[in-house]
Amino acid sequence: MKNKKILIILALALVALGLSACGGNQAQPVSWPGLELDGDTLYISYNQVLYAINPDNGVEQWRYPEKASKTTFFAPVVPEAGSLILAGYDNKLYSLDAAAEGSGDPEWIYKVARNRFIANPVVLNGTIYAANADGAIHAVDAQGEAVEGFEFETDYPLWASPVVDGDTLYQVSQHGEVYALSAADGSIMWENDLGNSIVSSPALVDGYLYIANMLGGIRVLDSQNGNEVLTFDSVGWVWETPMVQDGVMYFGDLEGNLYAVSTEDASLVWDTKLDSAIVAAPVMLGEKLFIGTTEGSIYSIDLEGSAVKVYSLEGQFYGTPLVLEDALVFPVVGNDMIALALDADGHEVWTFVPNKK
Amino acid sequence: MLDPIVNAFINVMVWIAELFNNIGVSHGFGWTIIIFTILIRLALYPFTASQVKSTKAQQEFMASPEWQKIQKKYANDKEKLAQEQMRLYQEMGINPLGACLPTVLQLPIIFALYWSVTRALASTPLQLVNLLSIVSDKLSYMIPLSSTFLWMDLSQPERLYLPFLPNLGIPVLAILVMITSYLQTKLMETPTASNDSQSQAMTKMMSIYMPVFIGWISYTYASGLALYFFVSNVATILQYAIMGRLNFKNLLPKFK
Repeated sequence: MKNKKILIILALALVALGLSACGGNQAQPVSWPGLELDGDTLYISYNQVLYAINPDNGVEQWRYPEKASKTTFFAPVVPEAGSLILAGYDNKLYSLDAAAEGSGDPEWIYKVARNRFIANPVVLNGTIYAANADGAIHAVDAQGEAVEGFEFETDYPLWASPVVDGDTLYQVSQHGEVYALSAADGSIMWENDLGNSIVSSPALVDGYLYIANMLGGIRVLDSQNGNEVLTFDSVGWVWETPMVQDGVMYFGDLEGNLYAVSTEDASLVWDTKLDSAIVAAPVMLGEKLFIGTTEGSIYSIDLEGSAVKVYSLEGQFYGTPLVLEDALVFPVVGNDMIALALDADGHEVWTFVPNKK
Repeated sequence: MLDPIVNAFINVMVWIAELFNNIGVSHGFGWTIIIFTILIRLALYPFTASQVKSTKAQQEFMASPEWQKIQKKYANDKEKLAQEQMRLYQEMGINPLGACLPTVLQLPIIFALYWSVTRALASTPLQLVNLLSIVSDKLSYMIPLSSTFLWMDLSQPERLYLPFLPNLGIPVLAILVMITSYLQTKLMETPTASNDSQSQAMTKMMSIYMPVFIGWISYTYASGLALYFFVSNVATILQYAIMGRLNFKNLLPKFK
């Protein structure tokens, strides 16, 4: 009888283990590291830890929490007036004292949201605006309290941070809506439904919003009224907002195509095919573009579209690299290292492999 | 190992969601899970029917005079008893695994269904990137699927928040799953022909452990899974009712 009881318990444990494997367990990475540079510190949000490292050599300075908890963080941290605002997959916002260097309790924890914070919050005039997968933008003051009088909520998840311009917030929804909102109270100034999913924040350049419309390529809207002024249809899905520079927008799609498109008339300047899906946006260092692919390759591309593979590893590149003064930091998934710094020639400067604690 | 099954499940579910979308149901993934669960139960019906048949055969075996005689004869020789039991199983054409094999076969289906629900909902960036490589091109415009269903977010554990109790989330679905699991176990429980107290104790234990365990899973994991359990329990009870195999007497309190 005792043996049968043990057998039943083991069988039930096996079911629980099976359910938690490959999908239910928060300790498995479900996104890529978030990077943020603040002064002499590079912050990496990944899985259950926020790491503070030296951007010159990749050496860890401190981490929060000291021992990994159940909470996971992937959105880049937001430095604000001596605090670090951290958005969690546990539906909470945390404010950490930057000077405490990971020790002690958070200054405050905001617990009102009903779903994950996928993207990092933004700060305007001391108010934190955090878009949540529950469909709302949560406006939080410096004490961690909800700002009275601000209300904005949609029926669809918000995966992208709002973009701030003066007293206006531009917010996109996973369902494809684009909103211009008053930062004071969340009221809608204009809205436009692009008809397909948007998961990354728009780029606001010279009064125009550049939006990666997942099924539909790139859409450019007039930020004053939301009218669509340009469209470029890509071959594959576009995840990340284009990088816009000197009259050209650069972006990649999930078929591995990298595009350079004119911001004047959305005509194709050039395109080139890389070895696998491109999720991130390219960045510029020196006179070259750099981009990582999901097969673990990093390409350097000149402004005429000639691409050269400069680095490869076992793992994947999903996130947009962070530009330092003379190096790029790439977030890495599927490898022991979670960040990699390359110079303008594609040579490795440092790697960051967290010590297990 | 289950990836091909999971990917197939995902595409079927997205297709069903597309059907709902075409008739104007925009937050249709909950209905998709319900329909898909019913389809799975129908597909597993031959196994269920076979399990019922095997259980009945096992009961007849336990009650047979021949088995009673063998039990008395070899009461002190467990090895010989086991041998005689297998011999008698063969003579009577009974598969000793017939009563539990269908349940075991359903486990990979449950795993595959859970993973397909969570992957189809794609509530994190990596899940969405991976989903885009799984869904067929014709259905890709449906992605991402809305996870809202009634008061629930199917990608999150279910809680109902009432206006007058905004800080207390009531796990309605987990409660319904526990109730229907308990009902299913009790209604399908067959009287043991033998007076073996161990068998009776085991049955009683299962009727408590399983609903609690399934309720815990429903409380902890994404509500899409809880919805599957609830619909599956109701569908199973209905299947047994159609086969005339429900024992409503088991719900009555037993007075000593």
